[in-house]
Amino acid sequence: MRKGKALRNKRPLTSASLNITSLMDVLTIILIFLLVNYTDSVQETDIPKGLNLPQLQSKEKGTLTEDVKVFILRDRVLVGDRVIPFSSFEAQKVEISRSFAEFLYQLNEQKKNEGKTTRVSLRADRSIPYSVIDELLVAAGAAGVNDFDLLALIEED
Amino acid sequence: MRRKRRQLTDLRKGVQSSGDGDSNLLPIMSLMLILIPFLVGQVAFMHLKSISINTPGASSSEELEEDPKEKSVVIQLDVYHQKYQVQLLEESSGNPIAVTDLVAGSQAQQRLFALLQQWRRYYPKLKILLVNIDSSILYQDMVRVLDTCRKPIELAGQSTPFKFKVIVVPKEST
Repeated sequence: MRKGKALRNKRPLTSASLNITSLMDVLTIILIFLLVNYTDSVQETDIPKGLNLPQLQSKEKGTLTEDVKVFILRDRVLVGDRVIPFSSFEAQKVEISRSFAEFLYQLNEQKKNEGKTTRVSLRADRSIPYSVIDELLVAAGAAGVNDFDLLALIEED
Repeated sequence: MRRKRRQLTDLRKGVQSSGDGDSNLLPIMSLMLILIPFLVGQVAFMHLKSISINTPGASSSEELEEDPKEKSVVIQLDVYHQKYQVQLLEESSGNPIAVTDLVAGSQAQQRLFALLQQWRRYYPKLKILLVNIDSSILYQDMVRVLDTCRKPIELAGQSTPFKFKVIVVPKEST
């Protein structure tokens, strides 16, 4: 009897509605941000820790070549899967250059046999002096590689 | 009174009212949920740029066509800490036709580009830019100068902008 009364007095069910207007606002802002930063070609590249690429103010983005990647850090040179560590580049430049040239020579010969050319993508730290780059350019020239791409980050306005 | 009763009946029956602010946003939400993950996958937070250069030697890059009637000239750019020295040289003899010193600073890149544009427009055969860089110049500054050298130049009557072939001359090789 009591149960029946309770059922009769129960308030009618109202339709549950969720206010999603604020959520829509957030999603619209995210959508606009993503559309502004959208790129049709995703440039994926691995940059080792401690490497600060130089920055450029440019509107032109350019295409990335991922042929032979050479990373020049303050304490090591990475070329392909080879790591050439050094404590002082000036003191060890002969050994570093030799090791670098040997690797590039082998790679270049292999590419030549396949009918391809070698292009080096150079990714150096912004604080590296030109004397280091110069040494490696000479070593690459000795290995028969004369085409390079210097990689930089585009500064946001 | 009648309107109120009708609203109550509608509510009991589960009929949604079509009043203001109750528009159905669910299809838009579904679209957003598809669009956002796709765009997140395509977004680039860092944009990279590569500057093509060559060193002296047999290069795999495109060969430059020769026209014997025109005077063959090259630009030689010497990059120092304090200044950039830009020389227009006769290719056969190496004699300078014009020499300009630009004081390194905030305006130096713009002045260098203006000079390169001016010389390229005056000498249609001018295609090569030789660059000598001082040993103590940092990679950051070197890249900025080389980027200016590789900037596209709009030329009258050409649909594609012109870019100099930049040859960096290593010090050790000289």
